[in-house]
Amino acid sequence: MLHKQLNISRGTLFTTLLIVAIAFQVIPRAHTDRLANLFSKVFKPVLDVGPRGFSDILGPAGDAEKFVSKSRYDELWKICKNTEADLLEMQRRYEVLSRVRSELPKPSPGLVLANVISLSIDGFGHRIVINAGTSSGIETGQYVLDTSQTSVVGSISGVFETTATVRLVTDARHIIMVGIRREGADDYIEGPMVGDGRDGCRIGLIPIKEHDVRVGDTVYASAKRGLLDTPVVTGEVARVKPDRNRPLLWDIRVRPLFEPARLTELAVIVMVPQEKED
Amino acid sequence: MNMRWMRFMVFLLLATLLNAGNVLNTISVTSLQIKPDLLLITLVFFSINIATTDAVAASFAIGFAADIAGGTMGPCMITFGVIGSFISQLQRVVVMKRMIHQAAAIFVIALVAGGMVQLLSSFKTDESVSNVCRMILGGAAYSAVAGPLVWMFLSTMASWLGVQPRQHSRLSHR
Repeated sequence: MLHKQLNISRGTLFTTLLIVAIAFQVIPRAHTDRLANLFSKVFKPVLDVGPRGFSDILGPAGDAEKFVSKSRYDELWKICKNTEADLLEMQRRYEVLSRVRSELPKPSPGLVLANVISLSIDGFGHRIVINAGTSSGIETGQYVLDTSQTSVVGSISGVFETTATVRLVTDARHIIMVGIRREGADDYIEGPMVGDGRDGCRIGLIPIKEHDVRVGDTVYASAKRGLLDTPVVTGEVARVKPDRNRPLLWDIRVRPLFEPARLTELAVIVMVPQEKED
Repeated sequence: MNMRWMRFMVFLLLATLLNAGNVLNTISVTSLQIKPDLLLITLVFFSINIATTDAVAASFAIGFAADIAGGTMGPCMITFGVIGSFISQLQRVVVMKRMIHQAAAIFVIALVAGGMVQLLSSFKTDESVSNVCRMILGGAAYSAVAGPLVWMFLSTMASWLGVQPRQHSRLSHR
């Protein structure tokens, strides 16, 4: 028996060997790994017999070049996950832009997708600040679409390098040329649309005698050189009655297709330079 | 019968070479290359079948060999030493005559040892290994399946190693 040969008790043997083992555990790896490396070097021909597998990747003796520290691993893991999230967001934005583009009558204009930073609806105006600006090619006057409805919600009224302000069509100072068209009819009735400062818009200057306008007719933002190639829907006629002050003209109330509070993502129509020059 | 330590060392070297080398890759399963842990099966066999004091020394020696095979010194030696010493204390109440008992014991011990080794390794190397749980569980299951066969082989080798496999029942010790 071993303990008889060495003349030591079981407890002493256990304690001694445990101390040796703990010493191996606490001594830095650079020193203790020499034993393992020596083993793998001496018996390399024997160890290499058989199909190569996982051990070749990790290395039986722990090839330091194939490992990173846990803190570095955590750092790389975070970078990887952030990049993955960024990629998913880019993929989602690409899909949104593709859908918006496919829903436009003439899908030629460039689109810049932007998130809503803030929404301000008060007596001073109806404005939205978005997180894209001149660095993305945005300029004053460009039309802005709601990505969920693909309808015109307003236009750019101010722009900085990385942000821009969108004035909504419901803003009392917002004027655009629109056209009214009824389904199945050929008439395209053009007129200026002004925001009513509340939740809708008004179209004036359309003679009652010449044009037949009814509730439910679709209102389009008219094409504008350098800004919009083809008319894009912006709302529908909600109420029609003769103007109280000018009885020969219609007083048309328009209900926009969007709800300002639900706007989270907008697409700005950015015409490419050659299209602007045309 | 006295333990023949020189023969044990030769046997341990062969087991270590098998464990560390590519030979066992022929029977590895899944993309994680899970294979049975011969040294752990050897640990259980010797801890059960040799005198307790010899078992303490053999357990630490097998742990040392496992560390050499694994590349990180310390974790296996502590784990195998402690677990082997503990198992050796149970010799009088545990007799693994049936294969199912051997497999069950190997499975449980492999799980505990795998967890301890990973824990101690993380303290020592500061490295992360992916799929740790699956590797420990898979390794334990595979070792449990292969264990009884290795056990039979070890039983045939027992007399050459100076080991007397225990054949008696628990009651015979009382």
